[in-house]
Amino acid sequence: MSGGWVGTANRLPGARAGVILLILTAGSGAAAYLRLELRDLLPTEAGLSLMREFFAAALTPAVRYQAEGVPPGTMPLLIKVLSAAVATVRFAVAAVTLSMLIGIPLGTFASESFWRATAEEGRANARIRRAVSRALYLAARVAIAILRSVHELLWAVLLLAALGFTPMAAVVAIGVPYGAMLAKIFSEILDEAPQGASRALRAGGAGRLQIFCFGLVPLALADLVAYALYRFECAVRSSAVLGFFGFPTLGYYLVAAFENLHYGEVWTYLYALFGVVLFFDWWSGRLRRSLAT
Amino acid sequence: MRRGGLAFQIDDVTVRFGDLEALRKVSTSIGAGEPVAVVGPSGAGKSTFLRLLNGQTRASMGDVIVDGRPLSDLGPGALRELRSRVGFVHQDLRLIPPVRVIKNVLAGRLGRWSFLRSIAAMALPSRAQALAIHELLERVGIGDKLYERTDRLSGGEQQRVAIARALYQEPRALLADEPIASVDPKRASAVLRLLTEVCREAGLTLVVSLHDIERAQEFFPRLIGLRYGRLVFDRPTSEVSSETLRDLYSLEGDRQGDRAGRALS
Ligand SMILES: Nc1ncnc2c1ncn2[C@@H]1O[C@H](COP(=O)(O)OP(=O)(O)OP(=O)(O)O)[C@@H](O)[C@H]1O
Ligand SMILES: [Mg+2]
Repeated sequence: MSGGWVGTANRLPGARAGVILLILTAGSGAAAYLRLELRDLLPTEAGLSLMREFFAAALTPAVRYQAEGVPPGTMPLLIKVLSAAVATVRFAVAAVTLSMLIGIPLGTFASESFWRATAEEGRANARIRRAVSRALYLAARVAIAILRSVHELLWAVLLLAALGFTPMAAVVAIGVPYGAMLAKIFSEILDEAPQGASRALRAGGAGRLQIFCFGLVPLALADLVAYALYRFECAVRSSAVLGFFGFPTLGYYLVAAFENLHYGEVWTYLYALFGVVLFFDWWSGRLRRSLAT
Repeated sequence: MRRGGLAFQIDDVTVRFGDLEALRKVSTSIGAGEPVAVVGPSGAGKSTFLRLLNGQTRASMGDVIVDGRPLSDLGPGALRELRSRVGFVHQDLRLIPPVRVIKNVLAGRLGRWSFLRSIAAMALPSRAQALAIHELLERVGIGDKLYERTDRLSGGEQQRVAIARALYQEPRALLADEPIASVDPKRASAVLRLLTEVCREAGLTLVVSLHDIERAQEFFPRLIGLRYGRLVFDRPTSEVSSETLRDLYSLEGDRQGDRAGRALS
C-alpha cells in the first residue's frame, strides 16, 4: 500500500555520508568565494561603543520621549507604542486572512490525497476527468512555487509601485507569499493524513466532497490550525518590518527612534513586539490544546 | 432495514496485484439474506474476497454480479448507490480518529445524504439521530461512549464503533472483515450473535471473514474456505470435516507451480 518507507530502507548506505560531504564542500566553497573572514566579525571601535550603548539601553526602555522639546499635544510615547502594536496586529490579521483565502483552496488542489479521495470510480468518462484533475493539480503546484519564490519585501516593493502607498498594498504583499506557503504546507499535511477513513467513507458510498470534508480534513485539522497560527506569528513580524516602508506599524517608529539614537525608545518598541508575539504564542497554545481534546 | 438482502454472484474471478494472484478463478454465489463465513489462513484472500463484493477491489478477470447487475457495468452514481446499501466493517477499522464516536457512526449514512444534509448532521446531529445511535452503541456494548473521542477508545471498543457504523447504514448486506479480531472471547460471541440476529431479522445478507474457526462453525450454516487465493471448499458447516479444516490451515500444501515462490505467512 504505502511504499514510502520501503524507499528509505533501500537507499544506498553511503548516500547519507555523501550528502553531508556535499553540504560541507558547498559551504566552504561559498565561504571562500565570498571572502568570509573571521576578522570581519570584530566590530570597529566606534561600532563597539554604539553596541554597548544600545544594549545598555535594554535595561532602561523609554517610557517617555527621549527628544527634548516635544511639541505640546503629541500623544504620549506609550500610547504611540500601543497604537503601533495594534496596527501591527491589524495588518497581520488582515494578511493572514487573505493568505488563508488563497492557501486553503490552492493547498487543497495541490494535494495528492485530495485528488485521490475525490476520484470517481466506476465506468465513466474517466480519462477526461483524470486529465482535468491532473492539470489543476499541476497548475496549483506551479502557482505555489512561483508565488512563494518572491519574498514579502519584494512583493511590497512591487505592490507599492503598482497600487501606491495603501494599506492594501501591505496586506497583499504579506498575504500572497504567505498564502502560497500555507498552500504548500497544507497540501503536505493533507497528504500525510492517513487514508483509511476516506477509503471507508468511499466504500460506504459517500460523495467526493463528503469524503474530503469528513474523511480527510478532520484528520489534518489540528496540524492545519497549528501551522496557520505559526504563520500568524510570522505575519506579525513581517507586518512590523513593513513599517520600514512607512506603514504605521512598530517597524516604522523603531527605525525612526534608531536613527535619532533614541535607543531607549527602540527598546520600548522591541519589547512591544516581544509582548505581542509572546501573547499570541500563549493564546495559540491554548487554542491548539483545546482542539486536541 | 426492510428492503431485504442483496444477492452476490462471483463469476470465475481472478484478482491480481502485480504478479501475485490474491484470488484465482473463484466462483460461488451468496443468496439474498444468507449468512456465510469465509475462513482460511492469513493471506488466503479473505479480505480481497470481501472487498470484491462491493467493488473496492476490481476483478482482473471474471465479474461480480450483485442483484443481477455486473459491477463492471456500474457508473460512478450506481456504484455509490450500491455501496450506500452495503455495510462494510474493515479489518483495519478505518474510523475517523479525532472525532466523537457519534460522528463516526453518522458517517455510515453519508452515502445517502446530500452534501448539505451531511454537513448539518455532522455539525449538529439531531436528537433522533443521537438516540438511534445511542441504541445501536448499547447493542454493541459501548452505549456510554457516544460522545467520547474515537481515538481514545480501546481497540475492541473501536471495532464495535466500526460495526455500529456499518449497521447505521441500514444496509441490505453486511460485509465484516474479521469483526471480532480485537474483542475479548465473551464479547466476540456476543458480537457475532448480534450480527447474525440483526441480519436474520431484517433479511440481510451477511458475509463475515473469521480466523476463529470454532465460532465460524457455531454461528454460520455455511463456510467458504480459501487458501492461497483458491476456493478449497464451499459447503454447509455440517459437511466441513475437521480433516478439511486441518488441511486448510496446514503449513505445507500445494506449493507446486506458480505458487512455488510464495512465502507462507
Ligand atoms: N492492495 C494490494 N496490493 C498488493 N497486494 C495485495 C493487496 N491486497 C492484498 N494483497 C495481497 O493479496 C494476498 C491476499 O490478501 P488478503 O488481505 O485478501 O488476505 P487475508 O486472507 O485477508 O489475510 P489476513 O487473514 O491476514 O487478513 C496477500 O498476499 C496480500 O499481500
Ligand atoms: Mg484480511
